[in-house]
Amino acid sequence: MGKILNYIIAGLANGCIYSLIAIGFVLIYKSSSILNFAQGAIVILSAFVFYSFTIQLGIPIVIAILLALAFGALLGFVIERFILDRLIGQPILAIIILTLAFSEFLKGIMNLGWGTDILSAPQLFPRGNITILNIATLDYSRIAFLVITFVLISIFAIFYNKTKIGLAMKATSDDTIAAGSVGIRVRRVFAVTWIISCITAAAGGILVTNVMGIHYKVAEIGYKAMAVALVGGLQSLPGIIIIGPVMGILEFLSAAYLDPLVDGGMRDLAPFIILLIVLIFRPSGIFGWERIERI
Amino acid sequence: MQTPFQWVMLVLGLFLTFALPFLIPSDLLNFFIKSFITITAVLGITLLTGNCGQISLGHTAFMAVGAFVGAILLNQGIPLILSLVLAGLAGGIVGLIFGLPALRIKGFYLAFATLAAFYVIQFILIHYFGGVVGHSVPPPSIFGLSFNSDFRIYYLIASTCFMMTYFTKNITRCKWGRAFIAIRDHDIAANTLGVNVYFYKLMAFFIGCFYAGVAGLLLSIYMGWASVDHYSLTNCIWYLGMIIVGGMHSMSGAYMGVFFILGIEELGIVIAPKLAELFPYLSGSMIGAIPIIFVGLVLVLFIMFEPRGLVHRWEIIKTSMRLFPFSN
Repeated sequence: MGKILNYIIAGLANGCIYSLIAIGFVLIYKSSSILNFAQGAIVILSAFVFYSFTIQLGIPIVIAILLALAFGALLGFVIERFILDRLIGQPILAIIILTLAFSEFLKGIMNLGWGTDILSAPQLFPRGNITILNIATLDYSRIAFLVITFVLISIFAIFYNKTKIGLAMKATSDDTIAAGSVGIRVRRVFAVTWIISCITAAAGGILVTNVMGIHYKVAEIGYKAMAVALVGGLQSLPGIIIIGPVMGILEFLSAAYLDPLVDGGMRDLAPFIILLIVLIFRPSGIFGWERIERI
Repeated sequence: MQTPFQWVMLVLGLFLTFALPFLIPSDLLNFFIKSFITITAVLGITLLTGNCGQISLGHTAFMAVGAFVGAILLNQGIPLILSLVLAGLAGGIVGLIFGLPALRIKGFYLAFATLAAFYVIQFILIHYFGGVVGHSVPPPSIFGLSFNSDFRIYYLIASTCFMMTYFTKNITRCKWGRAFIAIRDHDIAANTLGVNVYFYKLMAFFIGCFYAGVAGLLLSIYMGWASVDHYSLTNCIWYLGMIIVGGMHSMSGAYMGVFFILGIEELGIVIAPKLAELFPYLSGSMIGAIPIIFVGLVLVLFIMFEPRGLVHRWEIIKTSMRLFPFSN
């Protein structure tokens, strides 16, 4: 019993990070119908930058976190200004290959700059764990994950639903042309969208590498987050916030109980299998909208 | 193939290809072997993605299936030609299974479903078919002629590649090819016009992955070893990039794209050691990183500035040459 509870809580903590990263996918998809396959690379690149700031340059951790987030914002802005411009209206294949090629390019840069060894990230949370009611033991970093992602997602929800620019983002994602004709600066909204999604990616990267270590192969977490976004439905922000933790829990449970049957590796596979099953029964995701097409 | 001139060019081209190993040094020969294997795989993508519009990010996984099945068969002493066909069929059938989601989803969803398929297939190959170590592939033989050197393998690969090219050409202009194009342009419209969308989508997956299976076995014969490491996601991205760089809908596009991208990659491999001397303070491995950076950058720039590919450029040049004094 206690064991299951442990897996569930660990999965919950990891799943929250998937939600955090997946917010970036959904925001960009809603505003410009682009699915950004490079998100995973951005996640890890930000983590590498954070590593350089703290370990190599010796900047205090809090300032380094802010700088890494700022780096993510800058990256998002640059991508929006120089690449997105030419992508709108391109066929889907071109978008997919461009973002994938860009992600490989970033991975190459990371390989060049930081090498292929697994670097250990600076300690953010104290080591150790606590036992709750004698059933579940939790290490501090998992608790911190839960709290931090909860706070970040709440901030984001307030920003998106209450502030002026958040509402402008909502309007733009509903109808770009209508938003433009009531005076919303659509390009600025796109820029903000990319900046926010890269900041959430950077935050996710700093958090997740704190447990997994920094290595450019960790970029595959971007694909897991994308599976969360697709299962939840690409148009639905509440959907992915719910699906992320569910996916994380399923991932940990399948790792715990299926791994002995197939000798390992189930953890990395579970999100993809869940995705394939969901897509067969609900092609637009669990909370997504059915697409109605005209000829 | 309309004018006598084109026939002459075709015969000349074939002759040149088969005389090539006598004319060039061996490292260049390796480049051509790799190119022809890649062309075989990319022709499958041209049919599946370029003609039928179904994006598959799992192509290298289907290649790996073909390679593994073919390697196991060759080790059992099955003749080469039969093994090639069976490897293709294995790739095709697995492709068919993972193409099933395509009946209900398309676009980004399908692309990501095939990416998921890539990981699932890789997992199955590693866990149930001895993947990480892989299988050694003995040099196969036809009629007592053993393909035990690069020189001989070149002929095997080039002739397979040309056969597949001929096959592709015929598919694209028969009823099936036209159905593929109708589905690519608008699947619902194609359905109302009486095209059986489900059947042709699945057939596109089957044929495209048949190519992948054959190419996968060819690659493992060339390497002498079948291992999942040779069939990475990065390669799959490059293959899809090749059809964009070449021009999505045509076979000449596939040829141009493959030679162009592989050329860039080779350039990266040649330049990397020199760059490593220039910038010794970069900690990463230059040889691993530089080709990826080069190809990634070239693909990004290509899609940004010439999304219609080299074939489109070539058509412009051809037209302006025909109109010569009056072209702008």
